[in-house]
Amino acid sequence: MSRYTHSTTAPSRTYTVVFQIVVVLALVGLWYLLTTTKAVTADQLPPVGSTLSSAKDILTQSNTLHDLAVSIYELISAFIIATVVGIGLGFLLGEYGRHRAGVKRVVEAGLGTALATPKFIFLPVLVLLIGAGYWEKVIYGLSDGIIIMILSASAAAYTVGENERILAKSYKMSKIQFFWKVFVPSALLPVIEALRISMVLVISGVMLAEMYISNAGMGFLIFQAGTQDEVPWLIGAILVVAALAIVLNSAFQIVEKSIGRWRP
Amino acid sequence: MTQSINKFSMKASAEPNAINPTSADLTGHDGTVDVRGLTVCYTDSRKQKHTVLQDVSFNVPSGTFATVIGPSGSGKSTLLKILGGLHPAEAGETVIGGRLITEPNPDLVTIVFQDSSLLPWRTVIRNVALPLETAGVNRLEREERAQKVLELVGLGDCIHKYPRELSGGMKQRVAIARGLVVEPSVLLMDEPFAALDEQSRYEMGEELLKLWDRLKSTVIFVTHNLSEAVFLADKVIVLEGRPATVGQTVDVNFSRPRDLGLMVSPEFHVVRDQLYTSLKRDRIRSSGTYSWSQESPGPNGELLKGDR
Ligand SMILES: Nc1ncnc2c1ncn2[C@@H]1O[C@H](COP(=O)(O)OP(=O)(O)OP(=O)(O)O)[C@@H](O)[C@H]1O
Ligand SMILES: [Mg+2]
Repeated sequence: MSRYTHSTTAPSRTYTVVFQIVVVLALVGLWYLLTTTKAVTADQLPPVGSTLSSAKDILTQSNTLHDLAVSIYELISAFIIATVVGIGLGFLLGEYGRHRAGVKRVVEAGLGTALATPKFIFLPVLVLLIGAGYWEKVIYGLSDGIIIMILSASAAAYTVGENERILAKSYKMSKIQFFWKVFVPSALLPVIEALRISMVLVISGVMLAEMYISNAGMGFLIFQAGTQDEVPWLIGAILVVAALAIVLNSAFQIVEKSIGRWRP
Repeated sequence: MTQSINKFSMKASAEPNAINPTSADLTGHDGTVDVRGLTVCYTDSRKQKHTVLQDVSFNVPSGTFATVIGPSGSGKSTLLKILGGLHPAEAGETVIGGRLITEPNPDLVTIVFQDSSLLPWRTVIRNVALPLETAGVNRLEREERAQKVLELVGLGDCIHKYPRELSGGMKQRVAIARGLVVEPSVLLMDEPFAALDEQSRYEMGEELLKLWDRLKSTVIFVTHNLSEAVFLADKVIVLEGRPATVGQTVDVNFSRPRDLGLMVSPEFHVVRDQLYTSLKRDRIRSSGTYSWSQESPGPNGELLKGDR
């Protein structure tokens, strides 16, 4: 969270929050300057006021609220699936990889390639194959997030230390005790960090899917506003999505901070 | 703590059939350690077998403080793993308090590892309570017992700290407290003070002796420091050769309680030099397999590891 220091003391957290607010205010100020001095036209960047009022409309009018609800619903589904399946598969891969390092390497290389491939180009194929409904958007939306989750959970499991395993053995811990008392606490922080990144990827994935294979959702709204030159609506919708991402991101950071108190 | 109650169950556990670690009457044990003809191998990544310990035999009577000394890589940690039931032996057997050791016996034998291996996400008291927690002791009792042992090792004030907030010496005290909290009959210690500076190392040793004096459990303490080995021990077990075997065992009869003043006495030097000579002979026999960093014992008789 803190860009300046690793210390977890209160002042540095305050500075970080202040810094973030300053950055936002500076951007808004720049925006205001650009539009009032006519450095850009209203078609390129609409004035602050009209954009904010569109954002407010999006959050109050029932048809746009429906779009927001659709997006959030898809996001939650995609995120939960990416998390549960990703962590499960990742832990299995990491534990299995302790005995079969070769298999782990091959699987991870495959996943790395999949992550590096722009899945966007497969979207038309996906639509042809399975259609363009709710689940297609979810599946497309979670594809990158789940890969990140598998890779991180696998790495987290793999790094649960040999010392800690021996310690557990010396106390004759059962598999379940080991899982809850050693494995989970040890892997928890890297996994939560990965959750945050996964969430960002899921948001982009769902938005992209909505833009191209859907007739509802914030992605659809952005796409429509873009093609119909409704610039205040366009920027307003983007602001809403960005605000959603920032809020979720901060929530995760707060969780990370409070869980990671023991960290050096 | 309560090792005196042990005498109670000594008779029961002396029977070879008392290998039933489930019942509560086994909490206090006879701490006699009997190692006979132990041979231990490791299989490396290329599936090749290496013998690390060859035909190791020794006996440590209950309540004795024994130290195990030998050069780096001679198999000291391996020996403790066997005693702790963490590694199978190729041949031979280990009997502790009448129980044949084939798996960990956390109520009978506990290990303080070479690094303190505290769980960083647990506070001091929760680290110490971990063995009790694993054994199913209820929260109130385990925290009470953990608190008591922590006071014993002088950490009564730090129970809610995280390991990162402790110095190396304090971490080792926590690890010792964790080893003692189940009131084991045998405490195995793997170079617990190796990471400390010279001064703290001997001071911790002195404190450990005081603690042991109250608990009277058997201690098997691994070190590669000659002075430490002699200062602490009733009995020094020397591992020599490759694969290692017991070169000799030396009884150390200095009176107790001992304080650090003992280390400057001439008698102390006689015993230490005797050990040193024997180890040096072994080094020459195995011609350069081990690298002592000094030709003669330093002021502290330190047998430095090549990489330290
Ligand atoms: N898990 C293992 N797999 C394979 N070989 C091992 C393993 N553990 C130890 N060894 C080998 O066994 C030998 C003895 O190791 P051990 O750790 O018991 O020595 P040590 O006397 O404790 O050394 P040190 O003083 O450095 O701690 C070494 O040669 C080591 O390479
Ligand atoms: Mg060792």
